[in-house]
Amino acid sequence: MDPAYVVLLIIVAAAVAVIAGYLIAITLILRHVVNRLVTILGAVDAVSETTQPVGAVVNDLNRDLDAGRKHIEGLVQRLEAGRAPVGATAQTPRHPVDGDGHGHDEWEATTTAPPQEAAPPPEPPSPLPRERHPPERHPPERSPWDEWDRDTTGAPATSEAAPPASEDMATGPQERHPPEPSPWDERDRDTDRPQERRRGGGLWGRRG
Amino acid sequence: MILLWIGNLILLLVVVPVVVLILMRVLSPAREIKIYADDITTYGSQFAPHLEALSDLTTTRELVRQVNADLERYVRALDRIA
Repeated sequence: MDPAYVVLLIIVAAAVAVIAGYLIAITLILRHVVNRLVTILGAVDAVSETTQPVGAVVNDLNRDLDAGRKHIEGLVQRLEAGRAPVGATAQTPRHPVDGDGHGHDEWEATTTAPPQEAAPPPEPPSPLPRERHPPERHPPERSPWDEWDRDTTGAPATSEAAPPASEDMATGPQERHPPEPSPWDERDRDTDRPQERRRGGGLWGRRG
Repeated sequence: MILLWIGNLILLLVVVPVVVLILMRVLSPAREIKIYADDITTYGSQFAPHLEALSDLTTTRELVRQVNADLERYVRALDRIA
C-alpha cells in the first residue's frame, strides 16, 4: 500500500466521522424537541378538557345573573310605584327634623324629595319696627285727634317715642278700644258670642 | 488507481464541506427549537394551579341559582304584602 493513499483514507474517514457527528447531534436535538412537544400537547389537551364545560357554566351564570337583575329591577320599580300612594296619603310632613323617628319619613325623604324643600321659608322680620314707624299715622291721615293734640301741646303727635296713649289717639277712636274692662265683657262671655265679645272687649275681650 | 485518487479528492474537497455546511444550517435552528420547547414546557406547567379555580364555577352557578330562587320568593312575599 502506498502511504499517501493510507493518509488519504484516514482523512476521508475523519471527514465521514465529522459528518456523522453532526447527524447524531441533529438527531438528539430533534428527539428532545419531539419529547417536549408531546408533553406540551398533553398539557394543552388536559387544559382544553378542563375548560370545555366552563363555557356552558359561564353562560348559565350570565343567564341566572341577568334574571336576578331583572327581578331586582322589577322589584325596585314596584316598590317605587307602591311608595307613591304612601307618600300622597301620609299626613305627616316630610321634614326629617319633625319626624318622630319613623323609618318611612327618612326613607321617603332620602329617596324621593330632598329634605330642603320641606323647610319653611324664614319668617319676615317682626312687625314691631313697622309699628314703631307709623307712616300711616302721620299727617296724610287726618283725624280730629291730630288737631286736638296740636291745640293742646302745640306739636303734632308724630313722635316715634310717643307713649301708647298718644298713638291710640292718633289712629282714631274706631280702631282702638279703651283699656278699661266693661261689664259687657262678662255678659259676652256668658252668652258666648264671639262678635259681641270682640266689640265689647279690650284687653280681655281680644283674642290672639 | 488514479481514479481512486480523484474520487477521494472530490469527496474530501467537495462533498464533505457541502455536507458539513448543510448540517450546520440544520443544527442551529434545531437548537433554537429545543430552547423554545424547553421554555414552553416550563411555563405550560404553571397553568395547572390557575385552572383549579375553574372547578368552583359549578359551585358559583349553584349559589346563584339559590339566590335567584330566594329572590323570587322575596318578590312573591312582597307582592302578597302589597
